[in-house]
Amino acid sequence: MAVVPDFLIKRVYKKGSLREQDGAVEFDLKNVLGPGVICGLEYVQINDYKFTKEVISFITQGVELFANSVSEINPIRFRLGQEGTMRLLEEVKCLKNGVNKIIIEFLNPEAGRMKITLEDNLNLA
Amino acid sequence: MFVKDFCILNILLHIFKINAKMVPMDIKFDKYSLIINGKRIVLKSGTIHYFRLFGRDEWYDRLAKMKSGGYNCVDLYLCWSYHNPKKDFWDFEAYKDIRTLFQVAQELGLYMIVRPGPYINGEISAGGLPYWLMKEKDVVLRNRIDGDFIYSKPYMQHLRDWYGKVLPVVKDFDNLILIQIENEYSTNGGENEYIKELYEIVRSYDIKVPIFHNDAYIAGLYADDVDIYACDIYPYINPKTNWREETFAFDTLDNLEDMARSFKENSPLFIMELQSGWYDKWLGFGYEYIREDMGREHVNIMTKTALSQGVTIFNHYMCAGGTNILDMSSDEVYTSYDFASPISELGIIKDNFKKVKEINYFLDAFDLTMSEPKEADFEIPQNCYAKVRHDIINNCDWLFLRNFNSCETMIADVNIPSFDMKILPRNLKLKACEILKSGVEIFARLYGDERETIFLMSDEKNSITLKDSNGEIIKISADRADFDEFLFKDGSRETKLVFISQKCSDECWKHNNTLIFGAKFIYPDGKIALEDKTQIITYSLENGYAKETHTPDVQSKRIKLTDFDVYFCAPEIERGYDYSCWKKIKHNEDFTLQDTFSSDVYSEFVWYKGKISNVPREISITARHIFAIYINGYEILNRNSYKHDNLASVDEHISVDIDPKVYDGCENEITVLVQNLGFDRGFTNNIGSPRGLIYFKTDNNEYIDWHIRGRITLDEREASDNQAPYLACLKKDFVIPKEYFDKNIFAPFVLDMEKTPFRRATIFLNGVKIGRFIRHNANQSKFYLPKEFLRENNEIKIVIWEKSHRIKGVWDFKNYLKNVIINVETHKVYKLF
Repeated sequence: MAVVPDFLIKRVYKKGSLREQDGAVEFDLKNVLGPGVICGLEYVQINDYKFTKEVISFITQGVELFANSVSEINPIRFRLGQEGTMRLLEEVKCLKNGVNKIIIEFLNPEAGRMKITLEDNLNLA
Repeated sequence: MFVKDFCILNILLHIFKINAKMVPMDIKFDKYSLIINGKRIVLKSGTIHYFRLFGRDEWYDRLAKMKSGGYNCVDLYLCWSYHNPKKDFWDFEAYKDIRTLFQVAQELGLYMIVRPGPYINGEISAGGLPYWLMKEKDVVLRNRIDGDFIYSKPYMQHLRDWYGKVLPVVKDFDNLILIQIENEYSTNGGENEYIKELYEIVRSYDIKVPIFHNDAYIAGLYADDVDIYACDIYPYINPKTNWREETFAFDTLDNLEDMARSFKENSPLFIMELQSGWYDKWLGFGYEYIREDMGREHVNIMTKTALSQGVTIFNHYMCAGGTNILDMSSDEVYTSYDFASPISELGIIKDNFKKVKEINYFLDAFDLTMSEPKEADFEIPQNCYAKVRHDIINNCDWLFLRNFNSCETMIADVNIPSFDMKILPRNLKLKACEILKSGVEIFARLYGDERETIFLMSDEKNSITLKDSNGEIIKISADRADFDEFLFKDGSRETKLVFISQKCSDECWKHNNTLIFGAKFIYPDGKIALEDKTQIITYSLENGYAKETHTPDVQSKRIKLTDFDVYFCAPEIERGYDYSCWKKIKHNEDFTLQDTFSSDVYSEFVWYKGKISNVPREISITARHIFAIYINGYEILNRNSYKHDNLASVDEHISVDIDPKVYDGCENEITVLVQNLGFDRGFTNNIGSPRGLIYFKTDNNEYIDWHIRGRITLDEREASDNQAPYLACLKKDFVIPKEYFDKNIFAPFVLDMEKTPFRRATIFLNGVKIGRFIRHNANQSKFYLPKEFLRENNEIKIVIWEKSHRIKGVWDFKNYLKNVIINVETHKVYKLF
């Protein structure tokens, strides 16, 4: 697993954006670090529930990119300043009041397999 | 008595010499630039790895070429493991003598950025941390495990010892301008105690220059803990992708000023590692490919974009390539570390150097140390980038125009070719005229009190608009032949504009206030290097043009090596070889093996030997990275297990059947020879992953009483044995004619393995291991013979660790090796005049 400082990579997550919407779970990202390439979206886990790549998509600049089709040949190019929404299209009640844990595992062609662990505090009441 | 007095006198003279030069520089800085003794400078620096270049002559050559190419600074990593390969053993002699290295830089008038690590990365095994450190009790390398900060006092103590060896030497040099602590460091929590402590250690040596750290993530790491914020920028890290299409990789550089200012407002913008090449890996594309792929365009765009962001301290990483000798390289890289850099591994000036030279000479022409960004008053087409900076010193504007389209594009009425970038003046006052706007770049400027000559790059599609002393506006087409000139006068003041083509500028060199045209390179002492008969044109303000023709009288040289003296080596393979004095190593319950370091074995080649029953019919093995298994002297398997994926080598786990015929009674002997290609460089992965035999299991779950020893021996073994002709040594003496050692000849020699049938070989020149040849893993068949190790009378030894499957017997094998042809030849020959 590549050593990328957690505290830096967490800056990409937009706090408070975790939500249920139209039968899916969504959250937002903004690249404030630098240009990046994602050549594989492996899974997203929210609390105890793991979303596999079949139900994951990333919506950015008006285009929805499905995790299944992301590869080294067809990567996601995430530019500096670019925003996007991670969409998990599965009707499952995985969000909870208080602290929610989000894990994203993805592949970068240079750094290899990377895992980000994030937290978001929700008030669902 | 006389001798003793003479020695003391020499020592005193040496001390005096150092002290006489020790006028400490007054180094200040503000948000714009460094200010040295009251004068602002743009620091134009480039990296060399002295541990990949060997000895004074080579250091002088590379640094002299840098100086002649307009660099004013050299960046020097100091490599801990290179000087401290064993605990309590320090080596700063001969080609490891950093004091001599610093003296060369000082003599040439180059400033020095010194980076003593402790970790340096640099694609060095374990990132330059000594191997022995990995097994020291309670040492946590870099105070970090899996990204978590874990402070280790014993590690800090060893680090202090290292700093204690090098910082007193560094301090002796008045050309030291900046010093870096750690390298591309981060932790998951961003803890800064370690960086702060390193800062204090450096200051405790009374080193007064600004201290910085290089942030690889461009996230402002440790900006508050150092004097100047610096970062690394590498848009090109994957030769598989087309950088001309993946232009978004330049995003960070294009926004650097805003980002860096938010981290530290009042220090100059500083890119410590500004990409000017890239390293090739085992299983990579080869340097020829990378060099062609990046072209001269990449470094042009990198450097000019950096300047457009207000950067006044840049360091090209790398400026000169080098060679991985001994066991230095990380497991990623092979012998050549050419880096596709401006000066090649062999010291040859390449196209990207010529582009850098242009930029450096331009930066010498006008002081760009104080500028502010300004709104562009023109439209910027798609895929183009433009910046305008107001120059506070020259009271003019500079336009930085870049075209990322695949066709030429007009930006601000200037035609910019595809993937080109130009720096152009607007309202720039000269001695006798003013450039109102320009579509042509300035190459160099020679100036005196009243007169100046400005050399411009001719350009068939652009023009320059000037105002003369009478206020008349003159537009001049830049579609000009070499040396076309225009003279402007204003009373006694005179400005001459001279056009030269790209081809002409490529071989133009600035020496003091003179331009020399037609040289392959020059040295700062005024010597010019030529390959063929050439007419050299020099131009100075005082004397105008002068012509002189020189004819080099030294030819290229090829020495054909064949009829080798062949002998079989590595008696360790033999059954009955006495290994009783080797160290024992534990075969763990899960069939992994204890790491080699526990037995103080740090070698590239590691032997494992033990007894085995005659029962096993299958062996499962994992070894890093290349290995062979022998039972009773019979080779069972010879395997190149090196695999690389996503920046890290990955293990191969394989099984092999054993032919029962190899057993001979119940006292059988097993031997495993493992060649590791180095440790991880430690940028993203774990440095300390073990090497050697990692896992060994037989189908009958036999535990073996393993004994180990490092290094490959070149001892001769009886050739009458027809069982194990697997390791053979080819030996040959050869002579390099004396003329190639003349100080006025620059002629790097290479050993060409291309036409050999070997898959793998290790090359020793006069006893020094200078190359690893692994045909299918690397695009390298020519090996540099460093001048430091080359003599008039030489001995080359090439150890072959394989045998063609087509050759059955020992004698066939020997004859086959004996008649191999290997050439030793000059790569280029330059004569200095």
